[in-house]
Amino acid sequence: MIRRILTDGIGEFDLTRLDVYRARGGFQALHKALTTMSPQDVFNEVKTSNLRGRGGAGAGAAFKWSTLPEDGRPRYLILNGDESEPGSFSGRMLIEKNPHLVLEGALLAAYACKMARVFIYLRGEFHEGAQILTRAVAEAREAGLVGPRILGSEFGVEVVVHRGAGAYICGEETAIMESLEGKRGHPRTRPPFPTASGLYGMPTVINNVETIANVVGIVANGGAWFAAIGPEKSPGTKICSVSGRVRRPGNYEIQMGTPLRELIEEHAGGLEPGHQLKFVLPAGASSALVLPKDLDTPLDFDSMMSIRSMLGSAGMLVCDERDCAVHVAYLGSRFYHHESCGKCTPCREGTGWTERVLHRMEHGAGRPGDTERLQALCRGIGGRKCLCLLGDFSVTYLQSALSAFPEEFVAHEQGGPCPVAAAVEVANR
Amino acid sequence: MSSAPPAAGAAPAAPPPTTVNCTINGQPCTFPRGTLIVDAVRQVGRNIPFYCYHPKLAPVGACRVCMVQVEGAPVAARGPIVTTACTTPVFEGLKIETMAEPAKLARKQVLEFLLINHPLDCPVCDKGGECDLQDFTLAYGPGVSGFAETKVHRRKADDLGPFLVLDQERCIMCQRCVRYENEVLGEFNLVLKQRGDHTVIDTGQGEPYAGHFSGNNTELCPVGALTSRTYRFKARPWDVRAVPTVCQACSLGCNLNAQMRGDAVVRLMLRDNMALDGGWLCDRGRYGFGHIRSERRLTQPMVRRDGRLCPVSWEEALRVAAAGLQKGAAVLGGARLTDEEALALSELTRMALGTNDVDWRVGAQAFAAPEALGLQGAEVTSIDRADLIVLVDTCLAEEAPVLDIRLRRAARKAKVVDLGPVRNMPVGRATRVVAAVEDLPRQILLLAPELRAAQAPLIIWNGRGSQELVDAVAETGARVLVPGEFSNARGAEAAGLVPTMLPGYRALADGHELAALWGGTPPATAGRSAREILAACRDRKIQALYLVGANPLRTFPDGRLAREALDAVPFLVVQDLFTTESAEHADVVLPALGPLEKEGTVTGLSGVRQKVRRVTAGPGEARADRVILSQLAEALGRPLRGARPEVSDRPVRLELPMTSAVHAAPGLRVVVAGQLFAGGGTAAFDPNFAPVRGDPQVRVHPQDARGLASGTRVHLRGEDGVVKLVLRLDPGVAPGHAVVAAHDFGSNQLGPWAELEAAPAQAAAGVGAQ
Ligand SMILES: Cc1cc2nc3c(=O)[nH]c(=O)nc-3n(C[C@H](O)[C@H](O)[C@H](O)COP(=O)(O)O)c2cc1C
Ligand code: SF4
Ligand code: SF4
Ligand code: SF4
Ligand code: FES
Repeated sequence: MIRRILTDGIGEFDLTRLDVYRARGGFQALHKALTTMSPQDVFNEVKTSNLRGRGGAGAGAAFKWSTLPEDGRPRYLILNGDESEPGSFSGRMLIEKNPHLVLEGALLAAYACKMARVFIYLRGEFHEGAQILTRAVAEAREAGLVGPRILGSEFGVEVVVHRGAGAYICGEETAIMESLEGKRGHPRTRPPFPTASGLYGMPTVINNVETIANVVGIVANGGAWFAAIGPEKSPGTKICSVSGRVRRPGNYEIQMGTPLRELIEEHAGGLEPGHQLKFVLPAGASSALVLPKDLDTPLDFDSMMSIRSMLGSAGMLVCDERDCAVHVAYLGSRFYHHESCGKCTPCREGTGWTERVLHRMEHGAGRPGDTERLQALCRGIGGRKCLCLLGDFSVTYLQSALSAFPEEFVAHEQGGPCPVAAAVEVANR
Repeated sequence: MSSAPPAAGAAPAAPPPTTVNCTINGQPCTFPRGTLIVDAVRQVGRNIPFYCYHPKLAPVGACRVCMVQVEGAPVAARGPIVTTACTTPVFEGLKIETMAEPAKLARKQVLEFLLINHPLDCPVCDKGGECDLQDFTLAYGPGVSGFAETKVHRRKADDLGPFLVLDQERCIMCQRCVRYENEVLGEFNLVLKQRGDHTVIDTGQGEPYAGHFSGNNTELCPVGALTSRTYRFKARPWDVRAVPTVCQACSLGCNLNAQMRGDAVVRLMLRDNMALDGGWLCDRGRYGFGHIRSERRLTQPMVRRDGRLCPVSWEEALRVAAAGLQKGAAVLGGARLTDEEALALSELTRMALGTNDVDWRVGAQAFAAPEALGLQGAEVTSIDRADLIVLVDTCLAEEAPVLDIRLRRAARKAKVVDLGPVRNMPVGRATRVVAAVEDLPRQILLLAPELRAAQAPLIIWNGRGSQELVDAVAETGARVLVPGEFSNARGAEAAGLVPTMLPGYRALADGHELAALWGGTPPATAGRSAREILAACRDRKIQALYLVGANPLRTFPDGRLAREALDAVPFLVVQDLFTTESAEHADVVLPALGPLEKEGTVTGLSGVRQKVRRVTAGPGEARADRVILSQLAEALGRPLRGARPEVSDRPVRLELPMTSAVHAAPGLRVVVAGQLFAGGGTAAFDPNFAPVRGDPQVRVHPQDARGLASGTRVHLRGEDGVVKLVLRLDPGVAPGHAVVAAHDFGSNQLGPWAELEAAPAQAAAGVGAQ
């Protein structure tokens, strides 16, 4: 039942070459759309497909597009390729290995929404991806696929590839716009929402690269085809990035609804021999831990929500019994402290405070009350009190770690050596 | 909706009502749609804390301290949530609770967070006692902090430039300063650097703050992060009292509060008059109080004996002055007086000295009220309404700076044409039309059709020029705003301190109308203009000259004539605040009180009269001009009646010289441009401005630089003299021009043409004799 839609051909063919991509059917969806479909038809297919955003929240793509105002202002499409979530690297693969698919999807979305321009925003560290994508866009432009009068039609759109400067916050949908405008990557308040006033104050749609890549198949095969794949409410496939204590870390495109256990035990080859799963961080550092008891949860947006975690970007960090919850929490807190943009108070001050407490606990200088302090910090930062979701992300994983492994935190409060590390040492002796 | 994604539920609906009903803490209220919760809450008299919110700035929702609980669609349809009051508008049926427990808790948490990296140096912090961080922490914060880690350290007592001192550790990152720079000024003098809890406020490259409006930051800053150098460690808020008055550093007259500790002015602060100053002050207005204690203040009357000025009693000085003036005197000045004083001077000139030889125009400005030339005047707020604005050789940023803030905002929607030899607005903000001064009338006539076609055309013009220019402006039908050279030029003009008009724009022939008020009829023959008076002094046709708040050696455009006149006139009385260059020539010196030291009214550039207050006593034996004038009149044997004549019902018009053409000569055409801290009034003598005054400069287009670099010391060799200056290359200057600062000493000593040459090594800037 393995379906490869987005990763089909990757590893076998050099899909970065336009001729190879075309030989395998590439740009036929675009041709079909431009010759036989109106923008409304393309939109309708996406709507029928029930495609949900792969960037984290799982918002309906067609719904987002439908909120664009009809007021004659130029509209922009942003492809979110910032992908800075720890443990997420699926977008990177699409950009580096299948750039024309991303581009074709972008052109289709631009056609459906009558976009004036497409901006592909890449994470600052994607040097290679930026080169590959830029080359792909140039190649496509030469072939009449980008620019005015695409494939001889009336439709034309420009595509801009932009590399960020290396900040997690620039994946946030409004910070990315500030960044594109040449300003600090600071999130904006909402309302106004991007579709009303986004990039340069114009109506803007922002979608994850994987979301957009899916539009190609939807147009080629019809929305109904896509809607029939996997669970009704979360159709399609998802590329999951699996890393950590597994035997075969990597990207795996699975059908939505595949149980987490199957992903880890079959696709990723299971845990390293002799070790037991302790928890999974399913959406990088921004989701609640999934414990072994929930390993049979289907990987789709709603099922993951039902166990109070989330699918998010499906960057799966797998930890086993050797991984101390305090250590993992400390690493997470370091990340969030480093990445907090500093615009709003609870996140700016709270992430630093959290890291300082966890740093002490991790380094044998825990103090009684630290666990309680961490809990208070989570309450102070979380609960949608911050300007953007980064603040909430920074406490979600921590709160679940605190409730799942309280004894490890309490042990670290005593200021002694880490009990988990001690147990590992005993086992190794 | 043909082919695009459909908008949800696009049925034609009735326009939504313009008001919404909601409840605040149970109390039903109605607000205009779009009102922010924070404004709504404040309007019903309830308090919530806020830092990043500021009524003069757009909301950002950064500090998160203004949390309230709301319930109701669309923001909280599924039950109560806490949200930021500064970014959420009121909605129909919304239930707002400011004191709900979750909101109180959220505020408490934010306040605890704000203090963890804060230095808590209240005892040595200038903001202590008026600090929002202190106040809100006390009112809404936790009693104790759970923070037991090391704080983040940043730069303290950081010199940000001429007037600002920054303490990065006290900053709470509300970004009011950064947003003000961006939104209000369109500048980037203060920016954020670094990220997370290492974020700091700084100037872009760490260079000194360079702008005219830095001080407003100190009032926007809710904490003691951005403070004024002049106020550091000077007072505590509970120690000071505020006296409302009006700034007299330019003709705009921004409203301010003088804050007094005892008899000392410790700072000048905003006193919002939105229709006039928009709630801002410029740095010249805000920091221009150092002159009160300037070493160059005149504190005693003096009389020249054996070639030296010697202190004497007031009686003696007035007696000597009266005796000298009685031999036949002319009067120059008056545009820095109050309205009442200008009238007193007008009466004294006409009735006690018996002449119409009086002129306030000791600078380049030729008139004050557009109406006096038959033009249509404008209001300050005309700028907001204008759709086409033409700047005629006028740099508001230097001449009436706070008006420039209004212009910058207007320029976002109105078209602005910047006409003249020097660029007066940054590139991109205005359409630049290069024009030599002599060419201005022709250029205005070229713009006339566009101006006539505009809905609300406005001309902003510094009032320099000829009748030819006036006629061209009249052709356009535009309203005219004149930011003049002197703070109360309009008051002086209205008081008849011109040789061809009596008070109230009254014809000399109508002098009999004043007979009852003044106890006699003023002379009916036209007097001489400032230029004619100075020429007559030079030619020894006038026996005595009385300068009232006037320093023609610095301000009169023909500096050579001014110099020769003051050298030649047999008897000179100078009434002023400072030992000016002209005062050094005086036979009698009468020390006067300054703008913050006397009462009265002043008339701003749009004709609005405002009250000025005496906030401090002033130095030594200096007296208010009003007192000096009435005592001098008595000494002249003709006491003043002090009446205020009505405006004439048959007002006369001023006539300007027909053209301002000059002879052609080789070299660069010398033009003067306003420069905020260069000279004029009190600024030249204010120690607070020492860091920004700098050496006098000349600006030329790079192609006229003769290979000399910016910053080089140069000589400008004019027909009338040589001036040593510092060269600035400025592509905004039209080629062929040399721009010097108006009222900067030496700027008027050149003549209309000058050659640029490298200065011999080591020459300091200043004026050299030819
Ligand atoms: C702190 C933060 C970081 C984010 N980073 C990313 C990212 O790297 N890539 C991404 O696609 N979405 C990211 N998102 C989600 C985006 O804001 C946005 O929801 C998404 O790009 C929308 O695309 P979709 O509708 O196709 O999922 C981030 C959100 C937050 C709050
Ligand atoms: S929550 Fe954090 S990342 Fe988001 S705006 Fe606030 S400080 Fe910046
Ligand atoms: S800013 Fe306010 S709280 Fe901070 S030291 Fe100054 S007075 Fe105290
Ligand atoms: S310096 Fe003052 S105004 Fe600027 S961000 Fe800091 S606290 Fe706010
Ligand atoms: S005042 Fe509302 S978030 Fe700062």
